[in-house]
Amino acid sequence: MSKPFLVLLLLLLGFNGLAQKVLLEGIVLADSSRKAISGARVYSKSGQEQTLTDQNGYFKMLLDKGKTGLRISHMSYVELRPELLLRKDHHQTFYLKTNTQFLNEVQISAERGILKSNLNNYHLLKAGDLEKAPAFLGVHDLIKTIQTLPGIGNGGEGNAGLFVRGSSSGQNLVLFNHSVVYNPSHLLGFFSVFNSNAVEQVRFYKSGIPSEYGGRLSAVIDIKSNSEVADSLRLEAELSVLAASLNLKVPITKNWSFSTAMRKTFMNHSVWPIVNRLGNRDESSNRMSYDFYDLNFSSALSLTKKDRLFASLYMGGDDFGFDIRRFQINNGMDWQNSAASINWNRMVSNQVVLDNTLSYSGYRFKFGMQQEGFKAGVQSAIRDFTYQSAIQVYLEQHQLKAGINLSQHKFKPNTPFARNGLTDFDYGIPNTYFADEAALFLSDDYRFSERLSIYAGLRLTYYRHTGPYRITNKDGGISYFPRSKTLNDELFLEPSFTARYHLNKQTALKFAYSRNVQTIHLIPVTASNFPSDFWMPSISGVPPEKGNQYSFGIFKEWADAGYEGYIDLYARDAENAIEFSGGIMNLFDNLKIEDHIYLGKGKSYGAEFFLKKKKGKFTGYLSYTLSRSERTFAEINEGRAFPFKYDRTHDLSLVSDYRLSPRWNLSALFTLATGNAYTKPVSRYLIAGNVVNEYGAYNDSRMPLYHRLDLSAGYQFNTGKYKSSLSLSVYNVYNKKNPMFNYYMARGSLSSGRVSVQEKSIALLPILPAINYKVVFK
Amino acid sequence: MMNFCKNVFIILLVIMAYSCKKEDKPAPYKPRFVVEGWIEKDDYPYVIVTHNLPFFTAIDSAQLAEVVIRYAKVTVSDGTETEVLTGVTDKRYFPYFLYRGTSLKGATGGNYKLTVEYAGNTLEAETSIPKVTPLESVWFVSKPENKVQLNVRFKDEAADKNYYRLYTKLEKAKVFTPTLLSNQNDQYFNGKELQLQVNRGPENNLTSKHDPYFMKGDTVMVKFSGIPQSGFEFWNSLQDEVLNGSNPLVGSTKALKTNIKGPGVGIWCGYASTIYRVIAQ
Repeated sequence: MSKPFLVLLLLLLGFNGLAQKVLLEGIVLADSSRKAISGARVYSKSGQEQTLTDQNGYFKMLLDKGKTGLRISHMSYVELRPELLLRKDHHQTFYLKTNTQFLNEVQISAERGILKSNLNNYHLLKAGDLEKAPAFLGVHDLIKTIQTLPGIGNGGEGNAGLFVRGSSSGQNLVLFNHSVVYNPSHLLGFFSVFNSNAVEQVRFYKSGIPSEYGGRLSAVIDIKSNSEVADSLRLEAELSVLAASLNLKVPITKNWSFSTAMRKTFMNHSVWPIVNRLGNRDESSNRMSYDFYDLNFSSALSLTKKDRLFASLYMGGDDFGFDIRRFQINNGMDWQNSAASINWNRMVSNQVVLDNTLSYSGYRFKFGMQQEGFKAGVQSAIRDFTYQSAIQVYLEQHQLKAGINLSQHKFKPNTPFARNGLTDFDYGIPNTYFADEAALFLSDDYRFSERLSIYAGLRLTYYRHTGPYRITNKDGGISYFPRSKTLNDELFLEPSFTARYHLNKQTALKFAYSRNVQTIHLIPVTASNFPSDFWMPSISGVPPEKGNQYSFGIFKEWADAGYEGYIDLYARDAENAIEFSGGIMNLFDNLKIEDHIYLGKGKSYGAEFFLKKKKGKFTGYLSYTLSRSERTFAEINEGRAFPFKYDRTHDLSLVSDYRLSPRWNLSALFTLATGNAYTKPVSRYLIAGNVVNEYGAYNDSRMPLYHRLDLSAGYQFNTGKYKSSLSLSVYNVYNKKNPMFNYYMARGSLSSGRVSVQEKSIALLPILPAINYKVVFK
Repeated sequence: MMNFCKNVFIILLVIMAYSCKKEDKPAPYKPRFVVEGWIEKDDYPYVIVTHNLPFFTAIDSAQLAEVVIRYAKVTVSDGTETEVLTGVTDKRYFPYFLYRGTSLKGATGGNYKLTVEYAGNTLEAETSIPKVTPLESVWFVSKPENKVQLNVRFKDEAADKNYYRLYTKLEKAKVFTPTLLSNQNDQYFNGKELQLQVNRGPENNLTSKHDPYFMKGDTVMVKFSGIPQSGFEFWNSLQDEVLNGSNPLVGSTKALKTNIKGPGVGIWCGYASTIYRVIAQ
């Protein structure tokens, strides 16, 4: 069947049966705090109609005229069953009471249908979802959970990045309570910077990025803390072999509360001594040390019934050491993320919601290296201020959103320092860049019919690189540009389009297209996506990255049987993808980055398969992605296409959870993926007595297949006033060595005529059992 | 549902079958010549010519004996005098065969052009000999177990662009070994006095066993050379590969720098050296 005909047929099918129906629009709010309840499920009495409330608590539903009933349910609230008499289109606000039983009820049913979230282009993860997969060393983690979804590759062991549909980790927008987080991982990717106790829900977009988000090509991870005013004191403490954490929620008045979540690891006293001892067998062994902390503070204030304020502050830091003992080289890295925001949400009327946010993001990174009296290093820093204002208007069949976003960036991507003995090296003025962006966005989610709905959005962005800026000219002189001077600017449009068509109640098709532009770049420096990869803005010679993405999928629910699944096909292209032509050692020079990058094209396509079982004692999901991602750079491999480092032909995750009894549950995670592409030596030569590698085509070889099994068992104690739970988990059950890095070491002697070259792999984590104890006072 | 699953399964199979298709790749190994040549102030030029090897996991003595190119025509010219070097056996430098001059000698400020012709291939390179910078002071600092660490100090000339390379050896050793971080670029300390705590480096990258210190009583030879930019870039890239190739934080997939033009790699470099003899104490 030809495509236009099919589209026409679908459209025709869409226009049917609107007779004898009236439109009910509603807002669902929490009884105590007047906070909008998102994700509440609204059913018609017959069960024929059902929908979910959006983040403003809004829903709409077509119902038969006359007397009818509704059922509004949410896991944290007491179910409400209002009776209504509908003669014409109607608008009403519903209040749900907090469910005090909730805390004792650990079972979090798989509530949100795939047809709601995925048709809106996002995966919705709630705090409860995170607990369904085995925790790494007893700690549940958001990014780890996202990595099990289709289309999202992990970078292999020790890699913190999220690689969404064949794009790089720097092409994801990570927002924590509206603030950008530049480096969302604590080291080695085992933990994200998001303490799961401070996370209420995550929306993860990988296609059809809505127009209110801008600035990245690939995906959006929008993380929100609970912004509800707490109604009772709650204290949680958690202890594992790795970390201790403490969470506190304190109501100050009926309308005002604050909460904190704090986490600190002590791995330098638990994990690393063991790992270092195990790895200490030969001369090439290395020594690791690593610890991190993070702090979250937030405060919710309900000013009036219509106005809510939410303030949030995040601070986190990491400290990593890696010593190469045979050269007595000590490497160290430390970095800090900080984010703060204040959000004012006003319900202007039942149909209009105004949302204003002022946010700050900061990121600092330092890499240092020491060999006795010689010290060298590089520092990197980012500071952003952003203001966003958006208005959302609910009309009968339309949901309009419009707003502005203003942001200002300051980057100091590479500030080197070095000292040899008593002499400080002079690197001159560090590279500093100022850039700002102003964006306008407008979107409409239009429901044509019961079957067909369309989202269309547009974002218009003006980007500029401004002074103050100093640049060293070819002749060694310095040019200075004052603050008022624009060095480079660009205006661009980013359209986004999604069409959803319901074949029947339980099956839908979705087509999504978006074009995105990315004005700041993550320049990959290290061999394994360490945080030393640094950010810099677009300047003359480093243009914005631009990309298109198309996806088409079929989404299906088997509500009675408790299954849901989808198949989604995607294709994307990108221009001005970046590869760095030097290593981290080049950063020790105060180089002009724009002289050391290559620009090229990227292309990726793939098919994603997802099947989830939501009901019963045994729940879980299987996700599989078949894909290809390649890049073409004139300067690399003589212009031939080469695989992207994180190209994953196959990527499979199986997550399952079995509820043995109300107290016991068991969970398992199995993951398998094609290894990273890397560049392998193909020949060698002898010079000055050394055996030197000559490398072959870029990314022409593959690391071995990555696979790993994790298991965990949890037990709930229930003793009156406080509750506690104990979990045992085992990471990498069959002790698979998944190498993160390969290198080649020549040994022997030229004079004796015997030389062998060994391929050495660095694999970080053997089998690691862990125990974790959590207690909640209330 | 079964039907749906069956369809999914078939689609999967088709895509998997398609994705297994392999493309032809060009042959990875490219044969190349390797040149290592040097001309010291007041000394004759020396040039070693070999070729590279495919990446086998072990190299035996037959392969090592075979890498040397014995019948090349190697010419060095200073612009006025041109000398064809003679192939001779030299036990100090692997592969124990090199080409050396007997007439033309290096001089401060001289420019030297190297030409290697072999089997229809021509390789060319140019270098120069910079000014000599002396070490102002050489001394030792005591370390535990009767060991001492070498320290040196020198003053960089502000008016010149300078690159330096530092070596040590015990008096009885045949050749000098570069120190652990042996290359310096005055870009960051132009015109200043630089004091270095020197650690001995491994002899080559075939061993990691090395002692950074000297024993008390050793007779130590210290060689301090001024080198041109191309020499600094080559030696620094070699040091990078040796020190960082195994470091996952850094990695190395970089080809070494070279100043050899034609189907070859390696270095042709002039040196302005001063050698000091000191007793470790």
